[in-house]
Amino acid sequence: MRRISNPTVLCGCLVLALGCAGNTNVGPGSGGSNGTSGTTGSAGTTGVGGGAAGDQGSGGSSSTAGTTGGGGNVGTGTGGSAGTTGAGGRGGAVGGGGRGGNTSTAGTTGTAGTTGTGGSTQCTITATTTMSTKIPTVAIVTFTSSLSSMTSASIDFGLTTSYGMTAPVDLTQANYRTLLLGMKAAKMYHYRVNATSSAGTCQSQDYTITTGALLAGLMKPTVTPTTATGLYGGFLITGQYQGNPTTAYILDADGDYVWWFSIGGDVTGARMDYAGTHMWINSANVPSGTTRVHRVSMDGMTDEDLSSQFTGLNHQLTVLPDETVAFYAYNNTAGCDDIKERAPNGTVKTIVNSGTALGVSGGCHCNNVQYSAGDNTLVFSDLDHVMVAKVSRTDGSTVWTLNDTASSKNLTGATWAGGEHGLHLIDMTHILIFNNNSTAGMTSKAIEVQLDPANKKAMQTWSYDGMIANMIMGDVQRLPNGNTIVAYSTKGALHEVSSNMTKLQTWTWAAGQTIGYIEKRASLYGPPPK
Amino acid sequence: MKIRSVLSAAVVSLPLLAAACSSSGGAQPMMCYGANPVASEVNDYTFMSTFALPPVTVKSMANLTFDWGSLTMDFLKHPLSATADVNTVTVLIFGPGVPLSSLAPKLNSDSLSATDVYASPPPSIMPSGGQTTAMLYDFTLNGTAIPMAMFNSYFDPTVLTPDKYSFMVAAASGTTIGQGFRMLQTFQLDASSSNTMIKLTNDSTQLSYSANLHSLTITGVPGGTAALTLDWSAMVAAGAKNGLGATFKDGYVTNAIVGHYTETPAELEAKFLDLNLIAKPGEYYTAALTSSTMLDFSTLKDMSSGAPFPGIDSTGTWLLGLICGNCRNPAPWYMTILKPCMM
Repeated sequence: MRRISNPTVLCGCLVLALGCAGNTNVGPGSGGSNGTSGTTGSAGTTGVGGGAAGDQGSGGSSSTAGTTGGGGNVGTGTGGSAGTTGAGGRGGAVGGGGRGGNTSTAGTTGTAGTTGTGGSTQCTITATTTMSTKIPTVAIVTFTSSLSSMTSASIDFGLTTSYGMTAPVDLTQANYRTLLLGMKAAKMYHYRVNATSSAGTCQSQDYTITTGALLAGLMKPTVTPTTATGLYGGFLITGQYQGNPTTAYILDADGDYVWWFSIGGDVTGARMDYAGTHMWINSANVPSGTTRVHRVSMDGMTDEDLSSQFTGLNHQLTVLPDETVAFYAYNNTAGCDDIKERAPNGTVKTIVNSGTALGVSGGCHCNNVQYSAGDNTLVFSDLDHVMVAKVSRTDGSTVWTLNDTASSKNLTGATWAGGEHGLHLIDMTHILIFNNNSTAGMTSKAIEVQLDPANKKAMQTWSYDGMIANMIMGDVQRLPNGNTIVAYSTKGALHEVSSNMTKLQTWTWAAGQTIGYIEKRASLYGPPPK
Repeated sequence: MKIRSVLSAAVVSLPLLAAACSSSGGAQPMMCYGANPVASEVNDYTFMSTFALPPVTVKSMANLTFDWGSLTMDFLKHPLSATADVNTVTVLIFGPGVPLSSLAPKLNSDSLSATDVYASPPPSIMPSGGQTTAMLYDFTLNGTAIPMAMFNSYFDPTVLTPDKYSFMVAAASGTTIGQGFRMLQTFQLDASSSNTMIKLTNDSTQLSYSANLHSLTITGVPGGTAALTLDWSAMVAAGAKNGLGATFKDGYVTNAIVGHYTETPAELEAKFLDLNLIAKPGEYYTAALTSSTMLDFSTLKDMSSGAPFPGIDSTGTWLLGLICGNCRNPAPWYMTILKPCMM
């Protein structure tokens, strides 16, 4: 079936002021007075297309003055003729002998042009859908279109014909192959394709698909309250550390599973790449045992086991924009983990040994690494020494340390105890830290530290205590709307809190189900928010 | 007695669509559903259980000894070898908000959550070589040694006060922390106590239960064939109750069993904890599910021989159970009686 869009004039419209005619003069008299000129019509506003932006509306042209009424005939001169479009016509000229024409009515003010919508065009779009055989909530859409020279395309999809989610289409893909990501299990979804060229945008008919069943054992977390003002929404990417089945997974804002994939062991790290086409998944590997790292296409159809390139990796990894992967790996000789990178071509290099970077001796226990694009550095944490450090990617040199009592690189003024796990680099001068605070009777905290490297200072500026003691793992993320999510990983709990530390929502996993590091995204397409 | 909740019309109506069948020979009603029955509360059993966890008092901030050598049965009264079947011993600290007085009630209601476990992962030890005792200071966090000072800080009742925290040692089969518990022993800390021994005995955990198989409507399906399915998605969608009285949630059922018994339903109620042990030889079929809402009977295999499920016959009692493998309470979420019936 195909749908042909209705041809519609969608440019920014122009409404002209209409000048009223002067009335007919009757009999001899003086000429009518001049009518008032119509005012200039307002410009049309910029049009917003159905998909593409509409052309800017043309400005309303000045209303045309009414033409001068003809003079009344002498004696029985008739009135001036009506002004035409535009401002009111001037009154009829003085009639020779006849009664003057009446004053003509002023032209009305021109109305502003209405907002233009995108230009539409006619084409046929024929779409075909299959469900991934690996992940039954992922639909694979391909389509053909009669639209020539397509410049962009997208697919709207959702539980109703109001859709609500949009998948961008990569025009370089064969048959415009596109994944619909973010759908719940065992639900019927609607979708339609939008294709745009210089001629305009056309849409397909509405299609429906039904997603497959949820994988047995994936128990939805309890979300309390189910909704609240100020929540960020979006999707949560994490993995099941303990419990069965151990999968990387994505939950939507309702806490429903929309994506999952097993790599054959526990999952503590799950990160989508910047292109949004692959998920990097790893196992905890704590204590040192089996390294497990997979790169999985989002349709689940391609599963690359890259474990041999990540020997000794533990906890989590970080994906850089070019899909270089930063991680840390056990170094049994040095006692402290090596901070490493795996390039997209598979080569692996050591940036620096964490003990060297921290200036410490004895063992280390690195448990998080993040990428700082602003200065091309990596920031990592070490549980054993309760420290965080920033190192240069180019030469491994230490830029600064936090919570350090010995190093000259230390930024003084912000301290904490009891270890840490997840980090979030909010920007160049702010970092969020999940402080395990593992002391009997204490509870874990999320703390924000403001950094002042120029003056070697740091200051805690924000914290949140969810009254949960989480000794192992734990993660934090500042969201674009200012909220913060705090993951009590091995307690199977997650809080979303506002900037004023008000808990907005709690997610609680079933007993025995614990989670790994976390990341929230507004969309499952494109680069991550952090 | 557990009282079933009022069902939504969607769930109630499903059995009504099934053809009426002959009775099962007694008062117990039966409905014929064809080869693809839809699960509903009227076909489900009910189950209630109660744990009693009498504590022992031991010295606080001490290197406690745990001894499970006298165990011969687990809390289900199933045989247990202290040397062969105890593969993990775990010390669990619950709280804040879980004093000893609320620990058993939370277990009984299956409402104990991960956030209730204060030290997570909990200290554990994996016995080897016939080991039946272990010292507290030898326990580790997933293999990582724990400093004695840290142990003492957590086993200090002035820090983890008994009005907020409680302690338990669990002997488990298997090496997955938090699963496979066979016996539980609670303990409380007292600085004035000189006792440092915690023995796990057959009575450390006392479980009482009641199962009702006689009030359910028997599920009639075609006999002699494994070309059957059972779909419980309607119960999930309607928020129906499972056999334990809790909401039937999506994703929780992970396993299915079908067993053939010589016993009557009333006799099976009395032996409910032994269903996996008393099934007719070669006729206890299990399946690990992939779909969270449907069982394909052709995936069932006999647990001992691996023989495929051949379908049911008219002899004895056939039970079908749906199990939440991740739940603390091992009782099936859904259990019904199957009988041959042609529509």
